[in-house]
Amino acid sequence: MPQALLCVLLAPSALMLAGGALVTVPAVNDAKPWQSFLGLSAAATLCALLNVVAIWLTADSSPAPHAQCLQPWLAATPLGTCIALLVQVIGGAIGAFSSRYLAGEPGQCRYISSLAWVLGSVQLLLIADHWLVMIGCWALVGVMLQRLLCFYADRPFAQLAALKKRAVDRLADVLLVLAATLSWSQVGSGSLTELMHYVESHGDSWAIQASTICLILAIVLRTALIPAHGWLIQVMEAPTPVSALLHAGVVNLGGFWLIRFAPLISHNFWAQSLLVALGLGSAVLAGLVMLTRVSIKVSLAWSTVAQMGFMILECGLGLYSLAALHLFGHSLYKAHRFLAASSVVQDVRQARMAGSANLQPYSLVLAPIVAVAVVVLTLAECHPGAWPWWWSSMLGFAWASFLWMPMQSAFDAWHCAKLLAVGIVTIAGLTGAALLGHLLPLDIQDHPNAGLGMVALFGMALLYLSQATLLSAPTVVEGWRRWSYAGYYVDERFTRLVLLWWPNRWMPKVRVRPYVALGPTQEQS
Amino acid sequence: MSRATATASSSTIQSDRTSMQTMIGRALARESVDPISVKIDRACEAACRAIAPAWPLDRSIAVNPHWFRIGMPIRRVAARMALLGDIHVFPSRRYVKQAWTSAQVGPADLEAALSLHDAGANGLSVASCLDALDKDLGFHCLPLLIDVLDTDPLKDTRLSWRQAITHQVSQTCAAYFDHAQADWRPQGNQSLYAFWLDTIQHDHGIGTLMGLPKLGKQLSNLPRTRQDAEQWVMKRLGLPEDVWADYLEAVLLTINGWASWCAYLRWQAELAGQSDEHIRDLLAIRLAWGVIVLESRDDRETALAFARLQKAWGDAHRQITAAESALRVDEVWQSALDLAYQRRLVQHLAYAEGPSLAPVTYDVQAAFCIDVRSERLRRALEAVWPAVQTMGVAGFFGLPISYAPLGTELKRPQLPGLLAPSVEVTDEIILSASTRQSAGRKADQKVARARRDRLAFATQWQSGTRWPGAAFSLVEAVGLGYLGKLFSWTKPGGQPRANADLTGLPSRYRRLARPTLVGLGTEDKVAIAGKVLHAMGLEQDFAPLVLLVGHGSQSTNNAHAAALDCGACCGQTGEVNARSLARLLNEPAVRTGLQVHGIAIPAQTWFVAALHNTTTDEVEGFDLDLLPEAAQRTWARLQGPLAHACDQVRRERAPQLGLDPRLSCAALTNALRTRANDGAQTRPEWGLAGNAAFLIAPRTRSRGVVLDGRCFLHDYDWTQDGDGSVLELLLTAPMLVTHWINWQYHASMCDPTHFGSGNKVLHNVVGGNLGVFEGNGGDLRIGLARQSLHDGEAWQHEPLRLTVVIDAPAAAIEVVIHKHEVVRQLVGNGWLHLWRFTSAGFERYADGTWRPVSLPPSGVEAAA
Repeated sequence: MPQALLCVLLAPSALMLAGGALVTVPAVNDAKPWQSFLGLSAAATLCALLNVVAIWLTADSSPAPHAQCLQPWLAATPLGTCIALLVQVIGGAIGAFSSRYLAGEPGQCRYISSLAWVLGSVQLLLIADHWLVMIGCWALVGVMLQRLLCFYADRPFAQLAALKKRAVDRLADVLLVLAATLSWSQVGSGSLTELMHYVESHGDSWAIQASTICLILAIVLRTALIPAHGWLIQVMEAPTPVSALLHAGVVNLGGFWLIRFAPLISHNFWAQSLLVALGLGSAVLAGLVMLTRVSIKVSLAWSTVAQMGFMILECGLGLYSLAALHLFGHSLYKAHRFLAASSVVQDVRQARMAGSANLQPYSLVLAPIVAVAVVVLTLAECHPGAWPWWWSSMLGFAWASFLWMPMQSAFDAWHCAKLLAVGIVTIAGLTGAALLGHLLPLDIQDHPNAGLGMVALFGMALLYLSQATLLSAPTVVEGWRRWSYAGYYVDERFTRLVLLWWPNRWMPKVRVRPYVALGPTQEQS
Repeated sequence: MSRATATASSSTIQSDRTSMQTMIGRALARESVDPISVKIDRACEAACRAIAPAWPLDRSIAVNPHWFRIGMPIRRVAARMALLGDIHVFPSRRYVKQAWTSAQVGPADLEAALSLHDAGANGLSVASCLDALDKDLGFHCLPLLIDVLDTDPLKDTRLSWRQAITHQVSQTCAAYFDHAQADWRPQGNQSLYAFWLDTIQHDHGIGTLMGLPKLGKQLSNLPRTRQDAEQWVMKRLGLPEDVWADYLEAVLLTINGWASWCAYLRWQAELAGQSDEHIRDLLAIRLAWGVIVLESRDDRETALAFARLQKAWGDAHRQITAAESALRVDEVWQSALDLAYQRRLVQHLAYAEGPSLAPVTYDVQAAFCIDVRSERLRRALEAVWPAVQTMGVAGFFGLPISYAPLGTELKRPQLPGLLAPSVEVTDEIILSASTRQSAGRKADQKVARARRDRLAFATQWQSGTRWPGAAFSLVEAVGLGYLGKLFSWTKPGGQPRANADLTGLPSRYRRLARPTLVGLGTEDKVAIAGKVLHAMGLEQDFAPLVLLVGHGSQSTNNAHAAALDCGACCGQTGEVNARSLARLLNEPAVRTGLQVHGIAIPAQTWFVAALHNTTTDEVEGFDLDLLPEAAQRTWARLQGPLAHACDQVRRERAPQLGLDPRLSCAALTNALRTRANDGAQTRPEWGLAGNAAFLIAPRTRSRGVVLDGRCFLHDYDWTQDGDGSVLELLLTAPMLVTHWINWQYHASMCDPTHFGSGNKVLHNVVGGNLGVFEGNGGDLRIGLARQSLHDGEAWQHEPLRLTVVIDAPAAAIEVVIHKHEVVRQLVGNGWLHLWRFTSAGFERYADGTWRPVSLPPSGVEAAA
């Protein structure tokens, strides 16, 4: 039984890695590389599904047979297997999309093999239970991603983005090695399960605490939070499905690892504060930047940075189950949005049909109050205590926008009442949906931190206030808009730093259409 | 300005600037009497007037990007474009070489082309033309100020200033012109120049990319106003006056995409009788960038740069002339390519059925758009059911309308971009043929209200993803629901085309909302109807059923979907035009009025609107429930032949789309629909690729001929056009539209960087509908994507100039040529070929005379 389980557990990564290798074989390459990839991907999805079922069936037996496989290197966790399924589903969908989208493009086999390798190494990363496996797999994900980022190698901004990503990855690697060394020296083993046991029985020591800090810094770097977000924004230089893959299945791996390391983090106030500070900062700032973006893909990319910030914030607050839910929801949502990026023309046309109207100022003030009330009442009706009260208030602030009333209906009370009713039902429905998601059996323990919760609530209130201000009195915040439009110049500084630290040729050597000036040295190539 | 003066003056930039500012101030105060200022102003205006407009994505229509340059011979334009903007006008030599090796163009064509251009006198021969294909053009684009200053030894390790500046200007323009994507937009009514000034002075980032980390500190000396910037550059550079406009055009070409957008704004403003100065601002911005980079260089470098610039531009005109003669070869090759096609066209047209001897009575008449995609369907339909007469007319059916869907805030033009709408169409709810109008009005209000509510709910829901605060928690609550949507990307369905204009309408009213002309009295309606029928050449011999067939495409997740719709309807489908015209012509009062004009529509004749889906080749009829029984029976009788004809067309198109033409009818239809509904499909259909000729003639001239979907067909019978007014209309409206389409394809293929929008898989829609970036940024990209022209293995279009073949007396055509400068320029400067049918064959118009066309089958084809 354990042997069979082990095979199934390893199957998704093995299949994808094999697939990546396979398409580089000329025989497959000439025939139908996409068919091979999609077939393997479907098989991997099936295995990932079997894993989820197996984990769920064996949840009560302790220790779970699954968890013991290949100790100390690999172990399956309920969350890990669920995310593995998610990644495989999204990866498969993106593969199927790409197979038609990239028709006629040169270098498709290179694309397929990189895609398969990214998926394979993510699969392996999700069952890693040892520092070495984790560090190795994560680095491998990055390396394979580089090939996708530079799919069009002659595009300077693609090269620049890849360079930044490389720099961030190496920095994260160093931090992870540091974290591993500290924890290994303390625990005496590189196994992560043993690390958790150690923390449970011995409590924190300074080395573990320092290790945790290094770990979360590495994770934050890999999750593309501000200020390390630049590469994620510039990924538009690669084909659309690559963006979808990144935003949907790669940057959010940080969330998984934070949840895995929850026992360490929830004992460590500094780690939690750091997560809250960085997460909240990214959520609020990137959210505002997103509002100023003028192109659809860049707007979506900033939205991802903000969403990642929010997920990290939830981890910092100790609301791990919500962070997991966010990881799932956002991955699916963002993958879809990216693939649908070109539909924006039709969407805008529809929005124009509805027309745009200014909002009633009073509704901006009253909306959060009503929204909080609706959330709190819904929660009290259905499942009191599912999450802390301050979280309910944050949800209220978030969904208050459903209750904003357009100016035109000022004289049309009936229209207004209908909108209000629909808004209230929407908020109640969303609360219910969140509650359902919250109850998914992912075997995650929440450790809400009320103090930091206040900080987060304050941050979200501030975000709401900003949104309300830029809607009702935009001229007041014009200077701020300029800063937001510039992304607060964070990426420019980061880029300069990277280029100083790692002087590199990011202009492709052969330019497609060089400008030819006077002088004998510049020949048209 | 001599070199010495330039050197001397460069050391006193500041004082120079100050004195200049004072000077301009004074000039402005005296209503600009300074002759130099006036000259500079004129040069700037001339440069701006050279840029052709580019329509937004949701109204995307084809435009010849050289439209404002047609006053010059094509070879001269090619030379200028190459030197001013590194732009190719003729097909690349690589392409020609390929065409030559694949025998797409043969020795006979080349020889004919050589004799056409009298090339012997210029020392060109078959050998030298073939020789040239392996060589470079041999001349380079002229440098601009920002290029000659970009001398840093590290310049190859970063973006060139040219690229970086284009990027920055482009981002600024996007922020300024966007009204749909960003929710937090710049406030106030600043001019574009002022907005840019404001942005750049607060910018701390661009310097990094340009290798000028201290750039931010150098911005205090920027010209304050547009006029300052214009005046500064022309006075500082010391270029000869006669190249000012050329230099400025070269400057604009570095940001051609946004310049085309601004030109569109100007075009629209001028159609409405107003003016628009955004393009002047854009030019000034690009000029002011010169000041910025100038400040980053020391005096010696500056002097050197000025000297190089003056040297390069001093003899710009000589260089252009030299380039012009170097491009002789390319022009000959272009003609050879054209001739290779014309040879086939002549052969094909020889097989036309010709006029039938006995008068024919038709059961059905069907008017199609002149679009090349109609040709296949018309041919198939005529073959299946000879009792159908098909006609070709401009797809907007001559209705100068704008359309405002009922209960929405939307209003959009539905006519060619050359014209301004003068009549409005909106939906009326008509329950049945017998409903009274007052009942309809009431229903209108009710439906409009219901629709407003629904649209408002949709907006309310969208606010959940629009605002970051809401989106965070929203994805947690409903994110899992996107699993289904994600799955739908992998398996597109075979559902029929959905009409986006019906969004928000309660489903039971969808079929009852009928586009109708509003705000017109009966007399106006009669006048419009009379004009339309006259232009269509349909004033007598009405069949019992007259189909008005508009066309539209079906594609999903396609930013350029409008480019596949009807260009004559401003990038919309022809549905609204066809339906409102059918309603108009079925109106009893209008018919009574028409009798006064001598147009007697028999009582048993009914007009029916239909839409030809060019992606799936299906035809859908509208408002059939309003027809009397007899007409409905005829319609029903038509369905069999129509379905058969559509099937035929699908089979004809299948190989080009990589589908098996032997599939069953249902399977092939489903395959095409699946393709159309596939959001990952970058090539839903080939649009107008392959377009090459425009026949203005009775259908008898082409009936029965396989024209491969490459010809625009407009019906025209000169015997019915005594005063030549219809011919005049055809040569000044539809011919221009077809020329625009032809040249959009031509330019997108010959210079994909400047006039094509690049790779679809990198497209990033800007401002909701303004255009696309390829990737992160760079200039706004106009024109067709690579995927619209190339299937990954071979080109699906040939860069040919349109061959217009008219069936009319020489004198009648000449009258129009003499009367209209545009037509004269198009023909005389080599932008299209003008031919006419003669009793024996064809004549072409060249140098003011008609010469017989003699194109025997080439050796290759004869052997085959």
